[in-house]
Amino acid sequence: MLQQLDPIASPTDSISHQRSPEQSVVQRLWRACCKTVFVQSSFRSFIEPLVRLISPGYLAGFQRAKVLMVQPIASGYLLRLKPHGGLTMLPGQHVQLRIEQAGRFVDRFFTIASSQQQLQQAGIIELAIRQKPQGQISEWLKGGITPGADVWLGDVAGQFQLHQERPAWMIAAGSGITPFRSMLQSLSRLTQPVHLIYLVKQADQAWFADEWTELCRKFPLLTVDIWATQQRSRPDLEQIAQQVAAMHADLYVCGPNALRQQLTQALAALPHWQGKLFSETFGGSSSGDSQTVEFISRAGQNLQASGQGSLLQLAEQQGIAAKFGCRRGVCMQCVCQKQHGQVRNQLTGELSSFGPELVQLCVSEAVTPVTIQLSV
Amino acid sequence: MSEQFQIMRPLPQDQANKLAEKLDALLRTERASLGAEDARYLQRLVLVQRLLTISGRVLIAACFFSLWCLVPGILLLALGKIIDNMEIGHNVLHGQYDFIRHPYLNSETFEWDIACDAKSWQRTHNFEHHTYTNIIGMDRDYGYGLLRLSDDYRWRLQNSWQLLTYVALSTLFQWGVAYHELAAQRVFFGRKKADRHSQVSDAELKKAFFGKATRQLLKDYLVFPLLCFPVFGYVLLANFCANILRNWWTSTVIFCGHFTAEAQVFYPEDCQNESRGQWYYRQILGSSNFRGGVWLHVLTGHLSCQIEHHLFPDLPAWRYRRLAPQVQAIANEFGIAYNTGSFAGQYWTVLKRIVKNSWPTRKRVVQS
Repeated sequence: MLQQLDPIASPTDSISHQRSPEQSVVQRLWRACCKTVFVQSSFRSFIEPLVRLISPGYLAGFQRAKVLMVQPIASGYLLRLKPHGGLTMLPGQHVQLRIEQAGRFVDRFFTIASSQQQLQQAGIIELAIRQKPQGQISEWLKGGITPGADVWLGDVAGQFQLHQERPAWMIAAGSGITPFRSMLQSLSRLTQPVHLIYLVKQADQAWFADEWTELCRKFPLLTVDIWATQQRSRPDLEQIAQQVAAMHADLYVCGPNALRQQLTQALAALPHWQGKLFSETFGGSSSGDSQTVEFISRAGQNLQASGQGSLLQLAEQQGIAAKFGCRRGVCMQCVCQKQHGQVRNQLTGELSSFGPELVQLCVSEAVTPVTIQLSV
Repeated sequence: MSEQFQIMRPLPQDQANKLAEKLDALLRTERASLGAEDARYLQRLVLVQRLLTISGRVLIAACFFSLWCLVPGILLLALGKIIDNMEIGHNVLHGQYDFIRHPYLNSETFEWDIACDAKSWQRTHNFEHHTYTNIIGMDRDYGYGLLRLSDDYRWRLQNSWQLLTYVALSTLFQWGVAYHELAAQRVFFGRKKADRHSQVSDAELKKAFFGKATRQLLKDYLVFPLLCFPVFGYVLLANFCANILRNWWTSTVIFCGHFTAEAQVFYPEDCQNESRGQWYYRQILGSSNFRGGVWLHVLTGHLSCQIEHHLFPDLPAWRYRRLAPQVQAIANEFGIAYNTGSFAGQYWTVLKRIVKNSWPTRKRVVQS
């Protein structure tokens, strides 16, 4: 049986992250009350400026965390954080990281790379972050962020978890290794065979190299295969699929979307396979002039558009209703939440970040695939 | 006849391009320096607003112990409401601080403590007023459809007592704004302009209007008075007074922005296909500034720098103060009148303009 888990979360890229729209009657009443009495969408946003008077790092809805260490690893950084309050996690889940850089909040989602025990016993989590050209988080890390600095952690979420009752095959590509490190380090014993294939370009780019040998020594049922695609050929996915099916194992994939699609196809050809596919994927292509833009309406409908021109023009070409006013970047009526992807401001030529932020549809054009949360 | 009867012709294209170049350069420098300073300023401002509002309400409740608390309470609450309306609300809703990506201090989600719903205000103010500033027949904010401020408009009987209308409008300003920004004539009476299409249905507009109005009335005249039940009447009265004070203040400041003696008006036919430079030119001529201390600038939401605000509506407003001398220098260079003066002086010309246009005047001759 094939199972795709949605929403698909990504370890190194930003993802859509929505709260459930269903609210209880009490919640709705409380919200209406805040809107009336405090003219705010929540009580926390009314009280936040006052709490910051006493505790300057306070941000409503977030937990403050101290940076303990920033360690360079192969084309990336390992960030060790100590959250102030009680954070809880399951191995394989991701967390929202918020930093403040030049007055701006930058939000990204990262899979927690460290174990549950490390959080419970030492109160520490680790994030492994791949360096991206012009990435805001990368710039911040490169800029010599000093231990002791404050960052914020939002919700921990995700359903990418290890099911130990069946044998497992894990396929990680690049920074997609992070959830597997968390899963395997959180295990106290292993009762079913686990086979991990870790795809990297070159062998010296593998993260946590010495930890894998140690883990294999600890768990005899675990095998780790660090697969350098530039030295060895690319793995034969159909062959892998056959092996997975023969073992009646579950398959866990964390890597680019294309990898998951190929494995899904390979597995679909094997009807006798009884396992499940769990996946976390990230990234899309960012080349070419015409980009795909995904618009999500308030009702939760997904609408796709692609082509050139401003996001507003793209939406209108597809008959998607979007609010607008002046169409020249002045009136702010068309401002919408961009969930991820990069846009260029047509007036200033400025490139946006990749993460969630507000954009003006009328003067923004997509540089990478973009997802927009419409306000209608 | 007098200085207000001078019609402005568009700036020649080559001049306009040079003007746009200079002002764009100024804007680029400012944009490049956006950062932590703006974020700190906004956070501090919101803190001051919260402290003023809370201390005001606590003092008003303290009327239970001593009536001496009433007036200071009203003043503090009014100050809190003024800052929320002007320096925070107006500027946040213009998207000036959107670059911070603040979860609630942004143009998409912010809501303010006045009767007008923020989204409706953005629709008419940010769009119609900022795009068609002072164009006869297109900028509905020019006289708010109630006052005749230029003889380009036909005189009607109701204009005879428009000074009284103005005082009433000023007193009930938040309701005037709410009604006006809803474009109520269109929504309630079906008077629609042929070339304007609303993307928001009338039902939604009405819902936003009544929803916000109900919440505001409930808050100030029922919930807070009930919370301090023994002094119900005093709290109700104090909230009413604070709202009126805020109304007078905002209306006075806003009238000084475009209705001073030398703020110019434009004809729609002159503004068709106008270039960025010509748009800049119209914004300078159609707006007027006034001078004052830092506190005055903050309390007016920097609408004391109306010219800079109209040129760069999405730059954080506290920067206008610093930009004003540079903008004035550029205006002088191009021989464009830069309208500024003292607060009282500018306001006096507004009153004169309201009175002067109460009488029927001859249609002026357009100077070429």
